[in-house]
Amino acid sequence: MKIKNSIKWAGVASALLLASTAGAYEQIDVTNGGTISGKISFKGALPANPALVITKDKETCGTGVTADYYLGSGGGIQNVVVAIESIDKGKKFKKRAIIPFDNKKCMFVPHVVTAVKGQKLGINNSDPVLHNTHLYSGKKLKTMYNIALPLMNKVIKKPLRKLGPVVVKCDAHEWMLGYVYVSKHPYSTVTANNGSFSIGDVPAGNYKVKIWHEKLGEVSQDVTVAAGGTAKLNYSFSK
Amino acid sequence: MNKQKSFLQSLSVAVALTMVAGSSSGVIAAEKKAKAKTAPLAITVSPYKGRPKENAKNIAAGKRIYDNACIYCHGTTGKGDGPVAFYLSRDTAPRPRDLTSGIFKFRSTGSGELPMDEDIFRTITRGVKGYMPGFQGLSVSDRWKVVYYVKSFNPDFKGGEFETIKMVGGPVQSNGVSINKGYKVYQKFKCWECHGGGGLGNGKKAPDLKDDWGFPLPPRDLSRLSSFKNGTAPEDMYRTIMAGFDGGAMPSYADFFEGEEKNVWHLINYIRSLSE
Amino acid sequence: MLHYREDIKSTVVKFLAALFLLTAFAAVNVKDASAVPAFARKYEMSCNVCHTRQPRLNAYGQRFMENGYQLPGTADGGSKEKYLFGGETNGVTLDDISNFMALRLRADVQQGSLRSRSGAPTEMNVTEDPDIVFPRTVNIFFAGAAAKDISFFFEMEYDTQDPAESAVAFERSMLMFDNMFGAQNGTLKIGQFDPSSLYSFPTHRQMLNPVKPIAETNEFPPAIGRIPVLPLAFASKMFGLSTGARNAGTTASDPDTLKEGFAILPFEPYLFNAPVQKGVSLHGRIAGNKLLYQVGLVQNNTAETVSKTRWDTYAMLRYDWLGEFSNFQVSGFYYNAPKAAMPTLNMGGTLRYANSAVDWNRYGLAARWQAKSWDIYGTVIVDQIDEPDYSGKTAMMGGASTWEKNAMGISLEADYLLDDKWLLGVRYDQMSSGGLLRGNTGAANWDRDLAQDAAFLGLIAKYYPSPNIGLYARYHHNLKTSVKLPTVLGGDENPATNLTSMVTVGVDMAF
Repeated sequence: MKIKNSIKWAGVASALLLASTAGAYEQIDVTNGGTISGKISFKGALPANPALVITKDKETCGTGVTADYYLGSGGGIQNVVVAIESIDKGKKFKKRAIIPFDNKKCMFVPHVVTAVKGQKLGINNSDPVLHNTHLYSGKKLKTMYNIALPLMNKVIKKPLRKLGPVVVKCDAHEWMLGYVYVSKHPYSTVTANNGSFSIGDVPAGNYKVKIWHEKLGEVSQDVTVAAGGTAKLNYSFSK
Repeated sequence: MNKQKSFLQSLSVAVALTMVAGSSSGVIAAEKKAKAKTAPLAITVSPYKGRPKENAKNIAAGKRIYDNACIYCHGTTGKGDGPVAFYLSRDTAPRPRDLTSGIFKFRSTGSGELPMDEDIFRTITRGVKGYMPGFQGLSVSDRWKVVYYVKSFNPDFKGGEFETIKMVGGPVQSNGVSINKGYKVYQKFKCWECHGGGGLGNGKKAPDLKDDWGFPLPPRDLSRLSSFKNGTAPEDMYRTIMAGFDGGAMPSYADFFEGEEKNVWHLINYIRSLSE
Repeated sequence: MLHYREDIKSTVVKFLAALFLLTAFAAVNVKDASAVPAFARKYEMSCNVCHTRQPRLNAYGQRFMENGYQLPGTADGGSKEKYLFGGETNGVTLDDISNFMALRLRADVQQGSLRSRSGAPTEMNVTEDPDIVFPRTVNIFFAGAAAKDISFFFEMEYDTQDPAESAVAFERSMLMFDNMFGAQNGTLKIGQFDPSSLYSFPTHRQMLNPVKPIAETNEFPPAIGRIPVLPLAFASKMFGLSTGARNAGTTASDPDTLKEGFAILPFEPYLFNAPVQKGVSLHGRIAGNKLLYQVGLVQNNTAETVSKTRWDTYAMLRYDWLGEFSNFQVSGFYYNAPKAAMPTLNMGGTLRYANSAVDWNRYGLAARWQAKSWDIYGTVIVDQIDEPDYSGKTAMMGGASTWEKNAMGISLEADYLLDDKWLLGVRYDQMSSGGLLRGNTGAANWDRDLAQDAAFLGLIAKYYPSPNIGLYARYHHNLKTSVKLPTVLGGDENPATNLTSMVTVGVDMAF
């Protein structure tokens, strides 16, 4: 069994090496990079957040909780992912970074977060009840991980190996919902409560930028970044 | 004439009752048999003897066997939509596995990982209690050919990373001390929240649990050892706890037992004690 | 007999009590999905792997039966592990007895309505069955594979209500040599079995206990108190035929001179679709997985004056298509029974036979479509006999009789599985009868055709507290209006229209 495993690993490693060179992101020093910034807003009043039905662990999860799908102020929408669709070389990022993701009062905090493929999601349980954090990826929402978190404040680190929006749920508390948006590169961010965002150190060029919200959908916008300049990107969702 | 009738009537009822009693004792006998076998692979020959090469010819041979033995449940394209699939747990899980999904329940690999070839071989050999027959009627070589064909349903099997779960240590003697330690683990790791205090599958989280396809899939009643689908041996339970059941709600506990694998064996002893 | 009405209430209570106790007992013991009939016990699977609802088979169950009770696609010798001698490859296996023995208990309450019940109530005229006995029928099965590709099936049936003569009888009993020409090809069956078991609408595996006929077939024409409620397509459909001649000139009521010879009931399943026939059959698959063939011989007796052994021959072809959560099959058969029936006329108490026995040919087409909750199956069966030969006979001796050579029956059933426990069904049966129309076309008292068509609509509800126990209620309604028998035969209601409706409530359990 052990011998077979090592042979397998050798084969896998060489396959991975080959795979990693194709279409990979190259980390370089970006000098005089530009910025993409702007505001993602919503035409009219934001849709109302539905009430969540808390079916268990009410002492911890509370009652009368509303969902966090539509958050924002001043016309802006929070938790919208703004990410460059594809870019071959750009700024460096911390490969070993651990993106915090917490189960707190039976909600995922943060609700939406971005990461680079290969970085680890640090899943934590701040509640005294059992959560199992169940991650799904791909179009068919295939299970990526299903990790039990019986103990409080013990962070479990799992590498994010699939691209795109990763849906995070909890089997034990079916209303819990969160997202990790994974890109090949670090040029992605999440809008603040007023809808504003900023992506810096972008090499000059023309890019397609993806704007993604869990309920409002996904759009693509073209942006041209000049060296040292700021490209404005505003977009308004309408329901 | 009437006396004869009533005698024969009561005789047939007696026969009926004996039959029913006999069938339930057959279940008890099966449980005893299951306990006696502690080897993870409950077959009499080594799985590697007669293992053919994984090549196109054997995959084609595996397809021929699959088309005669497996399509009724797993479907011609492996999606788990065969003509018989609907009747198995009509509105509840489990349906026959969608072999194209890459989500497999019985593995010795990490959460979210594909199974190893040996895991698929084991499942084909043993079946899944209550739902899938065990195919010990197929030769070892034939079963491997089917394994290779099954792998061809999902391209991720090629050059995939396999984070395997190492079996650290082995079953420990089941005595009061071990069972007590296992009980403490059961409490600390909150198994009872789903499986319930006595392991009856009636924990507070139990009612809404669903599988990845949206079908209700309640937690196992741990007091019925013979119904464990991954197998009844301690090694089988080790895999369940550490790898979790992908496609279902049972998560992997591998991260929490890292460095303390002995506790898994104590936990297993405790769980096995629930069915005595 | 006359005060049976008062007894009904108490017997209903007794019946329900017995039923409740047995169901409760069984339900308690059937906790585990695998603790049910033999094959499920052996392979540790639930009933639903092979059955849609017991006893109907799904595609997997059909293949299991076709493969000699070995898992489809394998030649597993029926047993997973237990070998007596010979080891794993060549061994003879004997499982625990519970892995190849099963029990089936059936009982029902029958209440029918007749249009006419002439004379004093006799056993022939009784349609209600107030004797609620549980169980009414007990079947014990022994089935499985003894070694690789050698299978067996033995069934004993005991009918508690049958008069003393038929106590325990061997029903189906056969030996099978499977896959002789290779995988899924060349399975030989020898013994006593249903020729139609591989047909898309098999005789066996009806959802409901048979409601048997009450008839005196020693008399001619037979005195029919109640026709059976069974798929009409299976029936013989011919009036005026018997299984053999008696000594010419004998009166039907003189027992000393009676030889063998019984009236063939027009409404009872016959030939290819008769429940238990002695013979041989060979089946296998050709053209890939999709086409199933079956050829066979059935041993019987001719209906000639001096009866000889006759060999019926048949051939069946079935096409299967497997799809997503569904499967569809269509099959056709041809069955030939040489010299199988003797046209028989009762002329004022004396039996008049044709000059020779007639050959009987049967053709059938059936289809079945199972998709998720639906299971729809039906068959059309056509029967043809030779023109009865009364040439050279006077009108009094049958020379003036008219016969219909052709007959056809249609049976259609649609079952809907409402959920895990409930099944609802609708059944339609129709029979265009053949055989004897008029005994003497010239005579004034032969004023109507004897052979009359029949049509029934049935509604079924079946409840399964657990997969191996079925409780059902069914209602069958006669769609035909009243037709009388010819005046010469009494002018009473024709048996085809005499039963206006039938209600039965019953239970069917297997262990």
